Formats: sequence, structure tokens, C-alpha cells
Amino acid sequence: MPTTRTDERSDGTKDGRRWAVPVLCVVFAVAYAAVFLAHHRPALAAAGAGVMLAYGAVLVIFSGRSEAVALLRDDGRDERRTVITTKAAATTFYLLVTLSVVMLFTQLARGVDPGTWGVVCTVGGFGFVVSLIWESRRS
Amino acid sequence: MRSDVRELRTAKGLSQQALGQALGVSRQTINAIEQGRYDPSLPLAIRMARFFGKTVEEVFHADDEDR
Repeated sequence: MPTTRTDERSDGTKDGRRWAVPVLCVVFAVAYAAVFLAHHRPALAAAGAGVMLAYGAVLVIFSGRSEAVALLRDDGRDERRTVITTKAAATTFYLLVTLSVVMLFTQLARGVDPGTWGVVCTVGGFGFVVSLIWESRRS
Repeated sequence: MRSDVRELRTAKGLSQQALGQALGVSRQTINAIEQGRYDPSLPLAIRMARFFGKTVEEVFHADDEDR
């Protein structure tokens, strides 16, 4: 079957989009290297950049073989993969909420200013309420 | 939800990959629909039914519905 190169694949993924996460890995690698080099810690700079570059390489090499890796790369998005990503994001959100609330009350019980945990809980709760209102009006 | 996607696909001599490409979804999504692990959205169900020249009701069946 003849094929023509377009900027959009048959599964709806634009070529630019499927390279977004690997490019982000490179950006993070450069950021890690720059931050640690600025603090005169070349070993950590190399390690941080190396980990991010290796992660990006894994995404590029294995996204065609593993659906989980393809999801991490945001490669080949369709409606089912969007549902999977949304569920995974929700699970992650609940984990972070649980951690934040536990840490908030732990700090309060110890008589310590909750600091960052208080901010995280406030922003998370406010963001959730605003998102619910927004999405309920859209859907 | 049960479906006749596998039977219809094989009758056309298509692979899951080819059907996925024709419908704009991944091979794994076609497999999940065939296995009954994923219920497609209404737009995708309509696209699939039209692809096979059938109605949605002829392709997809509720679990409590006789085949």
C-alpha cells in the first residue's frame, strides 16, 4: 500500500507531538546539567543529564513495542489512551492528595507550621473545585 | 459490551493494525474492543459500524442482550 508522509499519523498523532516528550527530556537534561554545574557539582550534572537522556532514549526506542512506553511518550494517542492517561492522572492526584493531607495533619499535630504542605493542600483543593465547576459546565 | 468486531475484521482479511489505521486508533485499542475490555465512544462505534457497512446495533451488543 503506498504511503505518503504527512504531519499527522493514521492514529491521529501529529509527528511534532510525538517528539514533544523526548525533546522535553533533552531540555530537562540541559537544565539538570546547568543547575548542578552552576553549583560546581559536575558529577551530579552528568548523572542528572544522563538519566534524563537515557529516559528519553528509552521512550524513543521502545514506544513502538510497549503501549505503556508509548503512553509515556504520548505517542499514538486515541480515545482509549486518553482515558488511560486520565485515569492514571486521577490516581496520581489521589496519591498526592493523601500524602499532602497526611503531612499537613502530621505537621499540625507536631505543633509545626505546615508550610509547603498547607500551600499544596490549599492549591490542590481550590484547583479541584474550580476544575469540577469548569468541567461540569463544559460537559 | 460484546461486539462482532473480530469476526467482521477477519472476514475482511484485516489485521488489528490495519483496522486501527483505518479508524484512526491504535492496534491495542482494537484488541481491547474485541476482547470486551474497552467500550468505544459513540463516534468511534459509529465509525466502526460504517466501516463494516452495518449499524451500531449489528456490531455491538449489550451484555444482557441475546446475540
